[in-house]
Amino acid sequence: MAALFPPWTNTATHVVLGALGALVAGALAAPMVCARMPDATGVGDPVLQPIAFDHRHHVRDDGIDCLYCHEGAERSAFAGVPAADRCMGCHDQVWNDSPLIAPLRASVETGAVIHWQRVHSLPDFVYFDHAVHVTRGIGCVSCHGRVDEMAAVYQVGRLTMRWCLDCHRDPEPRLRPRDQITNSTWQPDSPGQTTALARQYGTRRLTHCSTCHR
Amino acid sequence: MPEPIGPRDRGGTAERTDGARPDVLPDVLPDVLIGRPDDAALSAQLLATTTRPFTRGWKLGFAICGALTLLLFALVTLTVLRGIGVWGNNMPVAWGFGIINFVWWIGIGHAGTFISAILLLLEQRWRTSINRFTEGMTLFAVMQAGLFPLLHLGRPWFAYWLFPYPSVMDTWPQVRSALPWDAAAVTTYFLVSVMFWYLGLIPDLAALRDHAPTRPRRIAYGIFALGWRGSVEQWRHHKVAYLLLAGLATPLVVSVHSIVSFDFASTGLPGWHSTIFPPFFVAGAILSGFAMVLTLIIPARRVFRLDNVITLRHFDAAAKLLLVMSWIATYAYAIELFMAWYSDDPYEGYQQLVNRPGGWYAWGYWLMIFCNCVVTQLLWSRRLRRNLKLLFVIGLLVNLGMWLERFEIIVVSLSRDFLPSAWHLFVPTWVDLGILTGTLGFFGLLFLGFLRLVPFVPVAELKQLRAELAHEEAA
Amino acid sequence: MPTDGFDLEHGVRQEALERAVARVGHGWHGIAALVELAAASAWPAERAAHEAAPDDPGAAPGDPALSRRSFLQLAGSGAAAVGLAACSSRPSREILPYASQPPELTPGVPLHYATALVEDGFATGVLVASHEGRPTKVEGNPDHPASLGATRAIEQAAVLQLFDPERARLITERGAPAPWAAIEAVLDAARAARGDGLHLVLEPTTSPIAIELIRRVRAALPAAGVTFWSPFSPRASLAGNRLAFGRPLQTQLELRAADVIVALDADLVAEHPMALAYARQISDRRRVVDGGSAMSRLYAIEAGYTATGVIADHRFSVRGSQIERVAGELLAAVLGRLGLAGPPPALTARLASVAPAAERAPWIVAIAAELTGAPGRSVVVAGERQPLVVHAIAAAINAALGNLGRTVGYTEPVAFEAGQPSHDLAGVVRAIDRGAVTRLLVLGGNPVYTAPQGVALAGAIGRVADSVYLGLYDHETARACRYAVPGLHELEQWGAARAYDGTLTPIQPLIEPLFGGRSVADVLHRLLDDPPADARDRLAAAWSRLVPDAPLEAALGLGAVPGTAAPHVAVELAWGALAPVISAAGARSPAPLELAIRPHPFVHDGRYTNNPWLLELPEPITKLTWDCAAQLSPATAARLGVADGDLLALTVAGPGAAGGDTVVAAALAPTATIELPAIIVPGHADDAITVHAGFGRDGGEHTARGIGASAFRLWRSALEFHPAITAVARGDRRPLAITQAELSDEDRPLALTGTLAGLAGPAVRDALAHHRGAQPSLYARRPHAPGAQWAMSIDLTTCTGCSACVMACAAENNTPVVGARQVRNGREMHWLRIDRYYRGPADAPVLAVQPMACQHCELAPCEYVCPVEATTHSPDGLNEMTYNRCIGTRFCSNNCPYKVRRFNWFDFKDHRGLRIAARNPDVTVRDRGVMEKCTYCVQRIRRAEIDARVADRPLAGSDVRTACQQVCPTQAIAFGSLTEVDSPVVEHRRRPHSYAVLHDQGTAPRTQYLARIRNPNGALP
Repeated sequence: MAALFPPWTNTATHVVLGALGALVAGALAAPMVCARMPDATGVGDPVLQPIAFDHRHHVRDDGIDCLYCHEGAERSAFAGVPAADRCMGCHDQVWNDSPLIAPLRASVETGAVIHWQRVHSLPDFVYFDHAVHVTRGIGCVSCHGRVDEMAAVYQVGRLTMRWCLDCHRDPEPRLRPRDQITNSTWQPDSPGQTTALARQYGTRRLTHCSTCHR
Repeated sequence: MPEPIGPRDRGGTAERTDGARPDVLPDVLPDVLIGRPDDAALSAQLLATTTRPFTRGWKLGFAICGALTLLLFALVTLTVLRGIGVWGNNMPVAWGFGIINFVWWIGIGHAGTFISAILLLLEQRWRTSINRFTEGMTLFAVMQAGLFPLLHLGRPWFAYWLFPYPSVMDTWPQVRSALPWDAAAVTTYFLVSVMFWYLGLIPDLAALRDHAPTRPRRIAYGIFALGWRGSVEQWRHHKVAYLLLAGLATPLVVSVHSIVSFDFASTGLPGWHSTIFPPFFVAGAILSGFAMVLTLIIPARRVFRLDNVITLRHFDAAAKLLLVMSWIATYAYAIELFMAWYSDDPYEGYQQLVNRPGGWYAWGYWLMIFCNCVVTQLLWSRRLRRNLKLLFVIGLLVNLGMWLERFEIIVVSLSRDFLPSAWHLFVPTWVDLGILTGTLGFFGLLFLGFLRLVPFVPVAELKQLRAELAHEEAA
Repeated sequence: MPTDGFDLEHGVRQEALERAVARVGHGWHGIAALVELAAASAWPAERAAHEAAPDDPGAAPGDPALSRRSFLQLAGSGAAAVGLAACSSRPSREILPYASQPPELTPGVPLHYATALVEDGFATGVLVASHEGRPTKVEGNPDHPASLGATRAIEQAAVLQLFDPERARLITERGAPAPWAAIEAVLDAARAARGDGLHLVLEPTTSPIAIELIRRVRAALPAAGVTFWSPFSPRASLAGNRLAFGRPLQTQLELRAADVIVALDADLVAEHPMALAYARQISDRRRVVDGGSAMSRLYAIEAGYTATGVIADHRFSVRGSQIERVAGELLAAVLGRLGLAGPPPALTARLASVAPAAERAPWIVAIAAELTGAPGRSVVVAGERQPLVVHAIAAAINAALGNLGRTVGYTEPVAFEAGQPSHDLAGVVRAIDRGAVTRLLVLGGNPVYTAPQGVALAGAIGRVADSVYLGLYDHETARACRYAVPGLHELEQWGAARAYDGTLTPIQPLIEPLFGGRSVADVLHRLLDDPPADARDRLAAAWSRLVPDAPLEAALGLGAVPGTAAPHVAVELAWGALAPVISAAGARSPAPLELAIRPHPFVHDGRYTNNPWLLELPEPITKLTWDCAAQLSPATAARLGVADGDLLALTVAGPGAAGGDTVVAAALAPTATIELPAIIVPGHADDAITVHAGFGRDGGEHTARGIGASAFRLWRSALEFHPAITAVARGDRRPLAITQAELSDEDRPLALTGTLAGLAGPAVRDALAHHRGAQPSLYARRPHAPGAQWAMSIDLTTCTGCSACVMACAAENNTPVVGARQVRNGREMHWLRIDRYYRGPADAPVLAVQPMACQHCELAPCEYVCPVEATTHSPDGLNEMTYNRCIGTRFCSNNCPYKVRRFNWFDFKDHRGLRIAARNPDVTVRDRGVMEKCTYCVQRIRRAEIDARVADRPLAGSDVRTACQQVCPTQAIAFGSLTEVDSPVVEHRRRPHSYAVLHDQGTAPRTQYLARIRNPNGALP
């Protein structure tokens, strides 16, 4: 009777065993890799807005300060998106007939809300407070990136817990003078400067859970 | 085979000492391998268990176990969908049947490794013909046990947070807690048991490859035999690996249930806060393990007519172990009571001296004492040690007793702790009971399959044993 | 991202809410819009609840249902599944800013408005927090005399009633939607007939604006009849004072000035319209700073246990019908000691013959001695459910002791026409029976349900051609009337009311009427055919007319008009009129078994019975939730052969039992029977059964429907609260949903008690000292981190067990309601519970109450057992609970010696569109399967920290007040930082009776207690 297993089965066995090992390793590694992919963190994909609002134009060309529209940032947990009448403050003089801002005019006239799409979205159990960051010397650019160079705003930071902790464990390098908060190009002129700022702000390393989770 | 050290039991005499008349030679132990069948006979007899036609009884059992398994899966789904509120757990009894069943099944799992590893190192010959059987039991019991830590979580889908891995949350499990250790210990135990079981199985799988009636089965067995040819070299490697694994498994027998006991001993709860728990739990585990061995092997032996390979010698030894372990458990109970009185801690005292023996669940306590401490005393008598019907019943009772022990420890302690304002009864729901019976069914299902797929008495090892015996008798 | 289910820049959902709700208002699309509303507000809750960590499988897909399903599908394939889920793309969410943002509003920063909540006409001033126009939390108004910064549990639950999806939504005629025009037709016809055949039934009112309106109605429609009704509004005291002083007067107390207080069936600290103020006054005289404190002495003489009985130094249980006898004996004893000349000789002679019943002679004498020993510094108070003679006697004793003008004062009634015939509901029925009523306007209240048996209102209404009901719910009265019009919640309307002491209080809305209802004023204005006007303008106009010297704006800012309390009037005791009545006092021989009808501490007369928060709040004494039971003493229970949960059939005896008032005996059903489960209350008076009113509702409110039975069915007449009854065990049981089954504390050192005298001695001090301080340890104690170190201290001496703190905690922290079945299984979710232990003999036990929440142990047992570090310790001493990290092993709860942790066994959070609007956006809504517990209101602490840092000032411990601390009427809870040596919490810890529960366990709890110190009369055992 013929041999039950021809010689090639030896090789086959080794291949299969190897493959199984690789599969297990891969199954363990895959989710960890995926969780760090832009697809999961949402980094870098520009979000389409109901109004083609261009930050480059408003911030760089017109030199409008971030806080003019996102006024909540200094006082509230939420930076806020400006109400339609705030936009209209300028736009009933300039570009007031542009079809681009038709939804805006409609909103002011009828009170219909504009459905802006959220770009930076944290889970609901995370309590981030703009005011305390902004007033203690963390600039917009630290988390939001060079919005002044974005046509459509996209997410720069990963917004994962590790990403938050990176800064919360060592906030010093991110500090800047209060008057430079909204300046996206500011750089410390000396390494000692941020240390001084930390002393001035009384900066703390807050890593206990209830700092963000309540 | 090197000359074994220490006192070793000679194989006993060759003439038959049958269970019917156990006292023919009162001072001589029964034989471990009756009739000294030759290799061919052994192969024929033992490999046949995988090929003989399915009896109606087997089919019936398989059907019942299958149904219960389906029930288990249904209830698991229900629990995951609706939340463990479908169980009876409440505040303060936050752990209920889930953890009881977990500890119980893990305990049952212990006999296997104990027999196959520790007794192997101790050169106990009587282990040979029952070790694979008990290893199988271990695997399937641990599989049941493993279900519960996962299932009892409020959010089982995050169970993987119990294992250390580089998370984007930058969080890690807490090593001060007993539970991650628990997860690690149980997983390790399961993996090592699987390897140990499979390694011992290889030569017999090869034998099946050569004996199986049909080509597909030969191929199937052949694949799992991993090309075993029984060459001297393979045998040498096999022996070394087997001994090494035995050495690795031995500490696990102790570690697993010790760590399980930390789930309780490391807390401050009256009834849990006790340093005797690790040894107490290990002893209890082996006690319940051997009880389960008896419960399973006595019917199996009868059905498969294995009186000559699984002899009264085995039951005698198992019964003795049962007795020893029962005494350790009894000692632990006594010490708990003594310490409760001696420590003069009002809460511990209330728990041990009032609540357990006289509280809502007193019936459970006394039934436990009866099963684990009283009944086992029958085993002092050699005659009763060799009375299989009795052993079977005792096995069942001890299984029950050990389950009740975990009930006493977990539910009764939790139901009345420090603040009377928080005291509350625990009443299991039908889901609790369904899941418990479901695991029994699932266990049985796997076991019935195991009995038919592989020889549950290790053929090769038995042949060696016979050779050794023959060699000694010749000498 | 507030996690209350409402998205951040709330302009959003707020507008969605208002849009949908606005449409609900106008009839037809109501339901559809409501569904839309539910959808609009429900999905973020779902998502909120479905806590998503960036790398967790369940969370990545947006729709939680989907992700749950996907989890189940993929569960089998394990890690691979995790990978897939984690890789899927994230949901995009919307930000919907205001089209035009209100100037005062910054999204994310709550605003607070001062207004008032009204019950039986009396106002309690409150401050309401509003998140982007959504009222979320009620706090007491410190500037309001009836609140002093505190509230009862009922006010705390007001927001949930506001957002009750079961509120009436449509104008209906016999259940079918009807136009407003139909109502207008009725009103116009009534006006055309100059009020002929018109009768109005209103709730008692104190509002000058409403009063002016009613006067105008009377003037314009002279033939119209007006009746005011509320079952538990003060009546007996007014009648009693009329007897004593010749005209109905309202009693006002100044308890701070009282060294000796005798409460005759009077629950001063929980049930009185002024309870919050009186509780504060009493506790101010009872805080024990050190052994030597001048502590007042409080005697409670009552049938069932009340909050006043809980804090009393001596409590004597006397069945309600016998209190008048006790009062008579007390009067006799007092006058005997004073040898006063005041009363006419006949009475003195009569009194001289009164000898106290043997069993109570000792304490009657002792109390009389105490009273006469403190003339002008004592007070005797009678409860509203005592007959007027008891009030008269109390007035007589106070007059005799010279307490008038010192501890007791009298004012004209604050409520309109209080104590006059217009407050007699029977009048309505008589008018209807005369056929004099063709149009009935019932504006508010629920008289059909709350009417005494003697007043057959339901049938009478049926005989009226056009009956209109205006109110919040489609309840019994609404269903009895032909038309039902949705009313307005206090948080939806403009108006005014007076506190019990007369202080004028403005009422302003927090939100647009959710269901477009109408206020009582709207209807009356329409009745008078006033031109339509904005409610606020109307109020402003009326206000400037009636209260010219207090501008409305200022009043709204403060929430009260200072100096508007009713002036005390000079009174002269009319012994002549009193004598015969007093002589007759207690002549009636006691029935073998009697009933005591009491308002439920939380649902009152049934007006709050549809509020799940209040239903699940354990009744302070019995710990009963979601039900109403027959409370009786162990002896009586033995006599009737019942145990807890055994059903009793309670039957009022025939008409003979009816007390002497206007009830037509013929109207009485021969007998009335209700069935209730028995619950045994040690310390309850024998041969009496106490039943709380407010249950047995059978209106259209689904939550309230079918719970318990109505005590009003056994109520024969408006002034007789203790009818004779018979009780029969039915033989079957109804398991009670009680949160604490154990009565005894097993003699464990949990709620420690002592006496003032004892505290002065070393023995007690040393004993107490064993329950505090550092425990020996092999390890070096961890030094505290710099900055605040939070801690709490609870004074058991002043804690009345009123449970306002429990409700405030639930309202602040979004703790879910679980329902009776889960409570029965020990799964209630309150973070703060009030433990109750009985000590001493079963017939006269001493009751100890102890608020118990997370103790924030410095060496917390829960922390080291959590496998994933979901519960951890913060540098400022909090025991943190991180819900989104919790996987639900419940190991922490097992190792918690105080068992204060709560677990979400199911998905407990409320999914009903509207109710989630009451959630606090600063607190995570917990998902199924996670553990939760008291956090010391960490959201408030972090908020205060952030505010301090934003404002660049140091954080003070007083910047933070926990919800329970803020609401406590007796200020029993102190909270602050241990680093501030002068902070109240540190000062508490220095007192000799400060201790830690389970101190021997070495958990070093941050919450400590002040032992309960009583000040018993040495002359009594």
